[in-house]
Amino acid sequence: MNRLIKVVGVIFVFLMLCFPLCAQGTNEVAENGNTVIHVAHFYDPTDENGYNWFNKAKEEFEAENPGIKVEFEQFKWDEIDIKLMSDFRSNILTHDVALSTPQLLPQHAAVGTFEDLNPYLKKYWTQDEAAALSWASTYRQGEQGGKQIGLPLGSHSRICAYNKDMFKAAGLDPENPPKTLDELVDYAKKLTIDKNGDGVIDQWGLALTLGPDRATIEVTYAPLVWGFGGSLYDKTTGKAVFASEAGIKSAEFLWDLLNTYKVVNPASLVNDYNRNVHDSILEEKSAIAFGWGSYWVDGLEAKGFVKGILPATPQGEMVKVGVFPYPTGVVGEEGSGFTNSWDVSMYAKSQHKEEAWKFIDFLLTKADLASYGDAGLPIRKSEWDKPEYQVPYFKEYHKAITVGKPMPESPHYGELADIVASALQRCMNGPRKDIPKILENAQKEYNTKY
Amino acid sequence: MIQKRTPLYMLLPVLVLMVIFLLVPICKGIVMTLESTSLSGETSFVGFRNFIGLFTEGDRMRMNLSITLKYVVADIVLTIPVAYLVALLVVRKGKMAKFFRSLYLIPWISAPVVSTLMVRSMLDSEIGIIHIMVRHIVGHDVLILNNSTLALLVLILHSFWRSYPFIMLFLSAGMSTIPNEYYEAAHIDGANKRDCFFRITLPLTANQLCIGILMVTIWTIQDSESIFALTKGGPGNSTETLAVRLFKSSFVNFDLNQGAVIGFILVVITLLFMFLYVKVLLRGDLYE
Repeated sequence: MNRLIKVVGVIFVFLMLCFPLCAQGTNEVAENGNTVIHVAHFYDPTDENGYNWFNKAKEEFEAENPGIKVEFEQFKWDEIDIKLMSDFRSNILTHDVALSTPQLLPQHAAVGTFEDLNPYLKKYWTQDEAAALSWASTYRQGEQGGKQIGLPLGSHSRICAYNKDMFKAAGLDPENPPKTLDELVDYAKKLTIDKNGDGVIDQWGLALTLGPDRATIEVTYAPLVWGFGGSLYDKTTGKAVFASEAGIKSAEFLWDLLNTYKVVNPASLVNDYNRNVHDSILEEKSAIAFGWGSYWVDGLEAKGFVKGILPATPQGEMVKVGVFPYPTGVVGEEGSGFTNSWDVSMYAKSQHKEEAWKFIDFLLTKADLASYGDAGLPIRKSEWDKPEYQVPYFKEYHKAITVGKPMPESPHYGELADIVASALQRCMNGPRKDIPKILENAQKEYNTKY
Repeated sequence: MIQKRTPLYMLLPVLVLMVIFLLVPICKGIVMTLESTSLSGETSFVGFRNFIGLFTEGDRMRMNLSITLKYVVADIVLTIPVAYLVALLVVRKGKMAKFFRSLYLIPWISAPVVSTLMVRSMLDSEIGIIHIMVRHIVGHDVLILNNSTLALLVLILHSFWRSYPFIMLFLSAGMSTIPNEYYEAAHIDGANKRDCFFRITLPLTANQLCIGILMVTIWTIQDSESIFALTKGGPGNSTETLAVRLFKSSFVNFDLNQGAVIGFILVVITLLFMFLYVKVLLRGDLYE
C-alpha cells in the first residue's frame, strides 16, 4: 500500500511538471495529413468588412494549396503584438503567421518574435518584385537591424478631410481648403456654429483626437511637432526629445484650439480616435478632420461622401468630403503625417515556415487588397501609375505617403506614446503656462528609465 | 493497516499543487523584482534598482500610491456601512426580504466590463443620461471623465455599486446565525435596540465584518479592469492606481520586472491592511 501511494505520488508530480511543457504546443497535422498553419489576426468575425476579406483570402489560399490548412487566431488589434511577444518568450510554438504593427516592430526585433523574411524574398521573389515594395517608407519600417521582419499589406496615411457642404454654408470656398495652421484656425472658427442659439455648439470646426490612447501622439501631436521642425525621439541617443520648442509649440497650439478658440469639442479628451474623428465626420458633426485615416474610405463610400474610390476607379470623385494635406511643415516636408501599414510577419518559432511563407506570399501577391479599405492604399509603386489612382483623392494620399514618417523607432515606443498622451491630457486640462514643465517632466520620466 | 505517514502521502498532491501554483509563482515574482530582463529575455541581477527607479522617476509612483489609497479607503467607507445597513434590513423575516436580497445582487453578478461600459454610456458626452442631467443642472457641459476628481469619484461609486451587494449578503448570512434567544434575553434584561446592536449584533458579526472589509480591500486594490475600461487611468495619470500601472507595465509595455515590483508593493499593502483589520476588528474586547 505504502509503495503504491509513493508510485502514485511520483506519477502525479511528474504529470504536474509535464503540464506546462505540454502547453507549448506541438507540430499540428490535420487528420487528412494536411499541414495546419495558425494565422494571428485582429479581425472581428462579426465585422464583415475586415473578416470577410481575410477569410476569403484564407479560402482562396487553401483552394490553391490543398495540402495546407489555415486556422485563424483572433486577438484585439492593440493586443496582438504583446500577445505574440509574450508567447514567444514563453516558448509557445503554435503561431506561424501574424499581422503586426510597424510601430512595435523595433520591440519585436528586440524580443526576436519574427523571422527575417529576406532569405524568402531572395529565394522566391525577383529583384524587381522586391523593389516594387521597397520604395515605400512603410516597407522600410519592417526592416529592423538588417532583418525584414514585416512586409506591408498596404499604406496607411493620415491627412485632413473636410465637409464641402459645410464650407459652402459658411461662405468658404470648398475647393480651397486651408494651407497653413493660421488658415486652419480661421476656417475652424467660421465653421464652429451654435445653430439654434441654445449655447451648445452643434457643429465643430475641427475634429481631432486627444483621448487617452496612442492615436493622440500618432495622428494629432506628431504631425504638429514635425511641422514645427522638431521630432519626438532621437534615434541616435535613444532619448525622447518631445519637450523641445517644437513640442511645446505643438501642445500650445492644441491648447489654444481647445481653450482659446474653442473650435474643438472638449469631449475629444475622453473619447477615442474613432469617435473623435471618424464618427464626427461621417455623422456631420464636424467640418474638418485633423488626422483622417486612409483606412476609413469605406465609410465615406458607403455614405456617398465619395464615389468610385473604393474600389478605385478612374471616375473616382469626392462628392461631399474632400481631403487635403496636414497644413503644417517646413518647405519640402509640408504635410508630414504618420504613415504606416498593417504588416504581415512570420513567427520565428513557427514549425511550418515554408507553408507560412506561402501564405504571406499569397496575401501580398494574389489576395484582393484593392477592394478592402483596411488593407491600405497600394503598396506597389506601379499601382500608383494606374488611371484609377490619378484622381485628386489618391493624389493627395500619394503625396502624404511620399512625405509620411514613421513613429519613433524605439523598442519602448508604446511606453513613450502612453507618456506623451498622458502628458498632453495634463497640458490640455491645466493652465497654458504649465505646458513646458509638464512636457519636460514627462520627457524626464521616459529618459530616466531608458 | 494505515501507517503513520500515510496521511502525509495523501496530502502530497495538494502540496505539490500548492508549490507549483502558489509558492513557485510568488518566489519567481519576488526574484523578478530584483532582476532586469531585456526584451530578448536576457536576465541580470540588479538588486533593488527596480524599486529605486520606480520611486525616483518623478511624482507618478507617489500619485499611483495616493490614488490607490484614496480608492481603497473611499470604497470601504462607502461599502461597509451601506452593506451593513442593508444587511440589517434584509435579514428581517419580511415578505419582501428575499426579493430585495436577490435584487441587490444584480450589480455583483454583472461582469465588471459590462457595468463599466454601462457607466461610460451614462456619462457619454452626447447621449449619456448623467451627462445630460448635469448639463441641465449646471447649465453647461461637464465632462465628468475629464475631471480628475470627478473621474475618481465615478470609479469609487462604480466600485461601491459593484461590491456592496456581496458584502451585504455575507453580513446578512452572519447576522442570521445569531440565535434569537440572545436578543430575547437582552430585552428581558432591559436592553434597548441600540444596546442589542452594539452588544450582540456587532460583536457577533465582527468576523464577517473583518472578512468583508478585507475582501473589499483586496478587490479594490486589485481592480484594474474596470478602471482601465472606464478611464484608462486618465485624465493624465489622475486615476492610475497601482493595479492599472501594473497592467500597463506588464501587459501593455511588456516591462515584466517593473510589473513584478508593483505587484510586490500591492501584496505588501494588502498584507498591511490585513494585519490592521485583524488587529483592530478581531481584538478580544468586542466579544466582552
